[in-house]
Amino acid sequence: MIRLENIKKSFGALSAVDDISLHIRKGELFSFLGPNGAGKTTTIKMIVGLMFPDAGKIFIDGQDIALEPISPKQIIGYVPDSAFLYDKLTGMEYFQVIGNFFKMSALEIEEKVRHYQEILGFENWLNQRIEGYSQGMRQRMIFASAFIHEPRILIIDEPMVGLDPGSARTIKRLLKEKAEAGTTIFLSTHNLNVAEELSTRIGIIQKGKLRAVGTMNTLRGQVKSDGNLEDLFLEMIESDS
Amino acid sequence: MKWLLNILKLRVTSYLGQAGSLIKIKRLEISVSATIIIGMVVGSYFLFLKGAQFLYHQGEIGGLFLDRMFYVGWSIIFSLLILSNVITAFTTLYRSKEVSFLLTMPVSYSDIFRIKFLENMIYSSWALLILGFPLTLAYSSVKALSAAEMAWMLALGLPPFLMIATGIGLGFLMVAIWLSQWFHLRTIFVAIVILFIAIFWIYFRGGHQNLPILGDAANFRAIDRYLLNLARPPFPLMPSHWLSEMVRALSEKNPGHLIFYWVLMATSANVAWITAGSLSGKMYFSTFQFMEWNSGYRKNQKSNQRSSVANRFHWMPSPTRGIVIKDILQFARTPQQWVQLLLFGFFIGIYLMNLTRIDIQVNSMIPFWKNVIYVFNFGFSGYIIAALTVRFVFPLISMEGQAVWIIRTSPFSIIRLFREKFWMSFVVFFPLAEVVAMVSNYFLQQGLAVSIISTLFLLAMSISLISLSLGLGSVYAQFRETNPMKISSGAGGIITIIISLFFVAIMVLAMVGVIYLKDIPDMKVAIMWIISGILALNGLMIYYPLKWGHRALTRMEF
Repeated sequence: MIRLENIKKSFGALSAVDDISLHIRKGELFSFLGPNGAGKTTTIKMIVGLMFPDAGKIFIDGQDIALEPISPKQIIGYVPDSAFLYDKLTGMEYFQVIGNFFKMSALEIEEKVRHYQEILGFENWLNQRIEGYSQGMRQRMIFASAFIHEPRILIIDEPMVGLDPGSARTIKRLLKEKAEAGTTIFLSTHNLNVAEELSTRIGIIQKGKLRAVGTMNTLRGQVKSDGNLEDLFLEMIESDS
Repeated sequence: MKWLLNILKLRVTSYLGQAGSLIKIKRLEISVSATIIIGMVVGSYFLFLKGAQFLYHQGEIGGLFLDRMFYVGWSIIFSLLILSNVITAFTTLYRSKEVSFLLTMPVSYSDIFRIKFLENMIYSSWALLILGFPLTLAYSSVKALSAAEMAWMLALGLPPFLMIATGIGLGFLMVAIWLSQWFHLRTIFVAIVILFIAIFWIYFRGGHQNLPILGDAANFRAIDRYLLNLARPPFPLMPSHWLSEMVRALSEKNPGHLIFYWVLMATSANVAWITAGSLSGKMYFSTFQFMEWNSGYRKNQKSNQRSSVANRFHWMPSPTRGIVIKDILQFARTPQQWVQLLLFGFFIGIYLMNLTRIDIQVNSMIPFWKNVIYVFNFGFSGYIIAALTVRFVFPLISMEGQAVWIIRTSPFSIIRLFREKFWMSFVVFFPLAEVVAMVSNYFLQQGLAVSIISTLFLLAMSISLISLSLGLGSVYAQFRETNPMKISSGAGGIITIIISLFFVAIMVLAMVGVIYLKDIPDMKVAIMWIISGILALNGLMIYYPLKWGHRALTRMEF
């Protein structure tokens, strides 16, 4: 569903992403881990089309996004790490705008909004302007707007930022359900518990290079440890630095 | 008071530091802006000087006209200052993160208001530089005042003059926001603009009378009455009148008169400072809180209610509808944007009102002057589109702001984005320019051929100027800047306005060519060549900026 082939990205002398290749299959929940500045967000931005690789290719559902930049976006839902939205719009208006971008009918938009407002609990805020929302409320809005067109691929950068424990649990449950229903999820996070709990496979990136990819068991085999993901992660990062 | 001085000192140091680093980083941008501002000030000085000299040498009536011109000039500046204060104060007083910080300090609300009062006064007095200084320098030069006398006069007269305008503007805004607890803020602002138009209308009707043309005046009494009115300003209670009286007193070496008007001005400024300060003690914090709370909350609306704007555009294709709804709602909810558009409309309205008065004398004009006024008017229409496009179209792409990721990650092509922004701008700005052209065609009694050609020229000019601003606005996009005024006054905006004005000048020259050649026999081919050349030029002006803008946006990373 998502295939990265030898992608590279540099900012001047800094090599942010260095020759990464990955293949994430349909229905997989892939967690992308790494310390700050490892190249996680850069990789994600290249997948969703906010940045362009200096070298290599990215395929979404078999389509090269360099050649087909628009149509793959129809099946992607993106949750960025920063919560910038159209502040002057109300929540409902924002959903209408997003729904229109994805060619949804007014009825479809309303149905989906009703569905997600119940799950994520923002019904009392829908007619208020986004500029008055808290960080957590914005994050819930971003999740809902990434979900409403029922994308086949979800790209999520730091999902739990600003969420209260209740909402964080709801999001985890939603992601699990979506993966089980066949949605491919690419998740970048610092929250190792979330990654351990949800992922089918995990990738660890450091200094732009992919250090390890595999299931929890494969990773354990690589560092010869029986610990949890936190121990594995720290061991790998420390041994490489 | 000590606290106030400390903050002021801190502010000056911080601005000096900022200026220092800006000069290092944005040398080109600053030199271009400085050259343009100096050019405008010097240019307007010479323009005013020529006009003032011409008036002054028209015998007794010339002096009266000169004084009236000076008074009207400062009255316009005073009105602009009040409006400018209202617009700037919205950001300085109610949208400033510094205010939120200062409110956590052990300082009274009135003190915070006072520091913001002074800050706002400085921010909003730019109009003086462009219009006031050249006007005053030209006037004083004709009245043979020395530079030292003028410097003293300005040093004494300007601070209280500015304070009165700021006091009125800030008072207006506080009351408007206080009223917005019961009425929509947009309604209040529209009411203020209508009030302004009404005041101006009264001023216009009451303060002016048609020039008695020799032979038309019934008797000498009519001329006498005209001269008497000319010498008497219609609004003697306006600070602009006091300021012009001070300059006049100085030129007539009348110290009593000078001191009287200065004391009048200074005491009024003091009253404005104290009144606004005490009003702030009662209203500033409550209105600030209200704005913070009001920024997101709207009462009496059913949850899940679909936007009425969305309903109105249901006939549009989906992705375009989304961006249209977003742009309209964002524009309508950003007072900085629509208040300025209203002001533009207000000034265009005044211009058209003036134009209607030409009707009285147009029949007695020789064709040369009729054509001169017509060409000037055509240029003015072009200037309107140029100014409007740079101010409103240039920042359109940048105004996507840090939420630009939404568009870039949606299945929405850049071409479609351009198309939407282009048509949204076109349907607003082309009719505005066309109305000016049609009204002038009518009142200047131009023939059908010239009217058609000028309409076509304006159509081409509108499309080109919108494309230019949209394209270069994408090349010089600033997604981190939230203030549209700052976006359009940056380096990219300055380059765009220079190219736009240059382009308008070429279009005006082409129009002159058409008007000149139309009455000469066998010149149809030459006219066709001019029209073809203009069409080709417009083609280039449309294609290249959009191409550059498209390329820049497609390659841009976020």
